[in-house]
Amino acid sequence: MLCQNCGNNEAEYHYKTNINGEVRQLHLCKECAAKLSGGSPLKLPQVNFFNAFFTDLLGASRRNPSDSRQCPLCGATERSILSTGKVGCFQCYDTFCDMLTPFIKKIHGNAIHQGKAPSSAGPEIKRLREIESLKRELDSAVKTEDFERAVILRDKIRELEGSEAV
Amino acid sequence: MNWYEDMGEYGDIAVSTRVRLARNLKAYPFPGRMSEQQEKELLDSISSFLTGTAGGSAFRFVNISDQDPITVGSMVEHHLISPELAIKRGKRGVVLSENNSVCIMINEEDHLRIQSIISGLNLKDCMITVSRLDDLLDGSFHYAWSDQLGYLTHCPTNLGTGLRASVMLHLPAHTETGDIRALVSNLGKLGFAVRGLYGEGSKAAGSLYQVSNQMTLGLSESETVDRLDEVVRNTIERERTLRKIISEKNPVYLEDRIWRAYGILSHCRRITGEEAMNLLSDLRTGVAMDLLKNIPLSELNKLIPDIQSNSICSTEGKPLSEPARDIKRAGLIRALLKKES
Ligand SMILES: [Zn+2]
Ligand SMILES: [Zn+2]
Repeated sequence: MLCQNCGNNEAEYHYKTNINGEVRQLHLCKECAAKLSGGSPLKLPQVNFFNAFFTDLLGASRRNPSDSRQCPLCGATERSILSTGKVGCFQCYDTFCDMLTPFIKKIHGNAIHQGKAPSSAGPEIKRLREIESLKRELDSAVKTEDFERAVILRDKIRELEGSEAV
Repeated sequence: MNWYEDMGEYGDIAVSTRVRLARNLKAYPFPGRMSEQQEKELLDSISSFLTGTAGGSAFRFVNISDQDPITVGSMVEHHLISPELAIKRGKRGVVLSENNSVCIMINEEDHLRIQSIISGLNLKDCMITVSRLDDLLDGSFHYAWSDQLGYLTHCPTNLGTGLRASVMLHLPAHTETGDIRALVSNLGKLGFAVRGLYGEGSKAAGSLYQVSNQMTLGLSESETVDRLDEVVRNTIERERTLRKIISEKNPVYLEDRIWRAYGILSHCRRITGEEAMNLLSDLRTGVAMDLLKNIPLSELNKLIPDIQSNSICSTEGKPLSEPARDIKRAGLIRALLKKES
């Protein structure tokens, strides 16, 4: 069996891990076991087991990944994504959308991103975020009985909600 | 001063708080598919940006590829870099603040991992720190982003906020009573993971556990942090209750155990990492419950990374055999206890 960390050497150290009751196995070569555990390979190493988890998820349902489809930006293929559990670039999320969506749903549910957005995000996202944050402020203003501020915040929210992009 | 030298609220049980954001730039493929040239470009541009005027000259850059294995291992033991950054190949580095409480890893699993670490329970300040850095970088670099999936990450498990918040807790009473199993399973159902200090396993070294959020998509940063904060506070309350129950049931048992730990630690001439971690756990309990005086918790927090294998070698400036490390480790612990009592 090959080391799950470097994929080059024969695995000599075998670890069992338990994350929230989910038992996983990790097989490492001597070198990687030593590196991951800070010198003495007896200690359990700290690795990102989610990658293994994700590879499992993907691998279980697709036994024959193809190399035919390639990401135009980074060159990643279905196979490369499945073998590493990682996509190649931001464009991969578009290129392999059909393949990735079921697994993203399995990990995260039907969720859509909430919270912070970068400055490059579209104006519509920024408007929605602004409304969210004003509503939070409004909540706390009401809680602290700062009604003067609450009225200002409420008007601001109305104004933003009315300015929906057409 | 370092992150572990300043005790915060709930410091009797909460050792430290860490928050990190995963971020990627639109201009490059993710680290697994970058060319050496691209790795170098990204490393250079981020490090010079942060160590320059933008970062207010508060940061220094450490090129991991240039460091010897002992130094790198010691940085992992001090939580300044992740084990992943330590072992991976290629050009990679970390930008550190003066007191090591802020680190920005470059070319780790994602292009950027922005991390803040503070002693005690302090999610709010950690969050403010990483958000500020995030804004600073966002002002000059174009992040990979999607309206639906949020910040785009190398591994789909981090999609959304890219936020991982974790609190390291000292839970000897949970460990002693076996309540830790129920805690792990209950927190798991609520979407939180419980891990050991340097790895996984049912019995963590020194009864130290990290509680962290699992969900990153569909929950905002503030919701994530608020939920974790609540769960951690409840766990701390429960740990305090369990400690009380144990000590009331059999006060001599606990006192004896703590003083034995003190006896061995203050007189031993060699000690393995594992024995040291277990006895220091008992000692920490004694300090937290006010049975032992004059030993600051902050000093004990600082000792934990310092007595790990690589850090001992790093302090000595050379590689040491295991027996030699055990002797040095005993010396470090004795020195601390002698100074404080
Ligand atoms: Zn290996
Ligand atoms: Zn791609």
